[in-house]
Amino acid sequence: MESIKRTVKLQIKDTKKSIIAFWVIMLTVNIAFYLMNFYGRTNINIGMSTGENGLVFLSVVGSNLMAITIFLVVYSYVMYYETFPIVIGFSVTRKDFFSSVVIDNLLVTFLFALIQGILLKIDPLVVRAIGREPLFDFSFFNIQTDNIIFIIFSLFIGNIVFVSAVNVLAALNYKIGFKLWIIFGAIASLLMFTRSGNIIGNTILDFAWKALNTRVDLFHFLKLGLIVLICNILGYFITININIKDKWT
Amino acid sequence: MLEIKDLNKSYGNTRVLTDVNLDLEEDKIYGLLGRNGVGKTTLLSIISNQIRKNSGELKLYGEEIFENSKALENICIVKEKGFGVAEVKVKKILETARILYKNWDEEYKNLLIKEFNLNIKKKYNKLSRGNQTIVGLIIGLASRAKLTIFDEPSLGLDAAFRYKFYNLLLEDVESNPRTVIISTHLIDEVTNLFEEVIILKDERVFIKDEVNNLMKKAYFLNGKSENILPLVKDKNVIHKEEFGSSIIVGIFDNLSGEEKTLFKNNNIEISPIPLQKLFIYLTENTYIKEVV
Repeated sequence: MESIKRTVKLQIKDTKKSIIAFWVIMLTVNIAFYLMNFYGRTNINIGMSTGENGLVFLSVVGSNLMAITIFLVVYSYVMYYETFPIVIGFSVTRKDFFSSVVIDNLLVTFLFALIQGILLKIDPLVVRAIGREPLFDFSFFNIQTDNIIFIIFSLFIGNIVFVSAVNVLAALNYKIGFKLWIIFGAIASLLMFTRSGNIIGNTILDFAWKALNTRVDLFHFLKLGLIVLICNILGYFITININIKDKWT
Repeated sequence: MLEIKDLNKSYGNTRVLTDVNLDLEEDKIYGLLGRNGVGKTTLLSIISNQIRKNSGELKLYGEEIFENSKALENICIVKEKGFGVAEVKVKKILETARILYKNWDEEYKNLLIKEFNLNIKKKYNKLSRGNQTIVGLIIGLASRAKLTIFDEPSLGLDAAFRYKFYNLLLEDVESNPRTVIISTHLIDEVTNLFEEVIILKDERVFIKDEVNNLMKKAYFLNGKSENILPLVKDKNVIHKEEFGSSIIVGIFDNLSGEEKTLFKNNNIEISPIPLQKLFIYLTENTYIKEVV
C-alpha cells in the first residue's frame, strides 16, 4: 500500500503541472473565442455550433471536449512511455504502477469532468450575453434541463471509458512497439476491404460512437462500467507482462 | 539475504542464464564479473524486477522478489543504460527517486550533487556519458536501499570521479551498512572494494568466493621451463607464456608451504596474480571446467 501511495503521489505531482497548463490555455482560448464571437461578424461562429430552422446554436466551452480527448491520449501515453520505465526502474512493482494509474485516472478524469461541467453550465449565460443562441443539447446530456451533478457524472463516465481504452492501447504500444500499428493497419484493411469486415467494422464504430454519445441511464451506465472493467483487466495483464525497455521505440 | 535458486532466463531461443544459484549475505560488497554478453545485466535486471525470469526462485529476506513491493522497496538498481526515458530533466529524475525510495537521504543527495558538480537543471540526455553515470551513482548512494546494485558504475567517468565514487561508497557503506553488487569491467580498480566476487561463465555461476580466498590460490610462477613444468603437471594451470627457455605459468590451485619452498629452491619466482588477470584467464580458457 505504501508503494502505491508513493507512486500515486508521483503521478499527481507529474500531472499537476500539465493539468494546470492545459486549463489555463483552455480558459484563455475560451475567453478569446467569446471576444471573437462578440466583436466578429454575426454569421461566423467560433466554437461548437449546430444549426436548426435557420438558427445557430453555439457553445464555446463545448469545443473543449476535443482538446480534452487529445489531452487524455497524451496523458495515457506519457504514463506508459515516461512514468512506467522510471518507476519500474526505481523498484515499483508493475501491479502497484497499474493501481496508481487507475487511481490517477479516476482523479484526473473526475477533475476534468468537474471543471468542464461547471464551464458548460456557465457557457449559455456568456453566449447569450454576447448576443448568440446557446447550444444546450449535447446528446448525452442537456445543459438546460439536466442538473450539474448529472452533467459532471456523464462527463466523468465518458472520460473514464475513453482513458481506460487508451491505456490499453498505450500499454500494448509500449510492449510491442510499432508492430501494434502494423497489426492495426492489417485489421483496418480487412475491415475496410472485405464485405464481412465492413459489417464488423461498422458495428464496432457504431458501438463506440453510441457508447460515448448515449444519455447515461442505469443500463448504459452498467454497459460503460463493463467496458471500463474489461479495459482495466486487459490493461492489467498487459502491464504486468511488460519488460523495461532501455530506449524509446 | 538474497537467495537465488535454479534461475533460468532465455531470450527467444538464446539461453542466457541456466540454473543460477546464489546466496548473498547481508552488508557485504560483491563484485559481479563476467565477459561481455554472459548475462550479468540480465541477472541484475531479474533481481531488481526489471525483466521477468523464465523459472527459478529469487528471495530477499525470505520474500519472493518478483512483483513484491515488500521485497522491492529494499532494492535499488543503477543501470548502465539509464532510466529508459529520453528527455527528462535530472532534477525530475532525482525528485522521482526521492518520492519512491523509502530510505532516501535528501541531504546526502544534495551533498553528492556538490561533490560531483552536477548540473541538475539539464535534461538527462543532454548530459555527457560521465555525468549520466553520476546521476545513477547519486541515486544508488542516496537511496540507502538494503540491496544496492550498480551495473557498470564507471562508464564514461574519469579516474578522479571513479576514485571519488569508490571512496564515497566505502564511507557510506561503513556508516550505513548494506549489501552492494557492482558489475564492472575495471576490475583492478575495485579489487579492494570487493569482499566477494561472483564470476559468470557459460550461463552459470562459475565462481563465488571471497576475494582473499581467490587471491590465495592464484599465483604466477616465473622461471626456467624445465624447472617449472614438471612441478606444475598436477596443478590447475590457467595461463602459460613462454620466452625462450623461460616461462611464466599462472596457476589457480592451493599451494602448500612445502611446495612454495620447493619452487623457491628451484629458482622459481612466485608472485600473486592480480584479480583482473585472474578473471581473464579463468573466463577465456574453455578447458577450465571447474575451479578448485
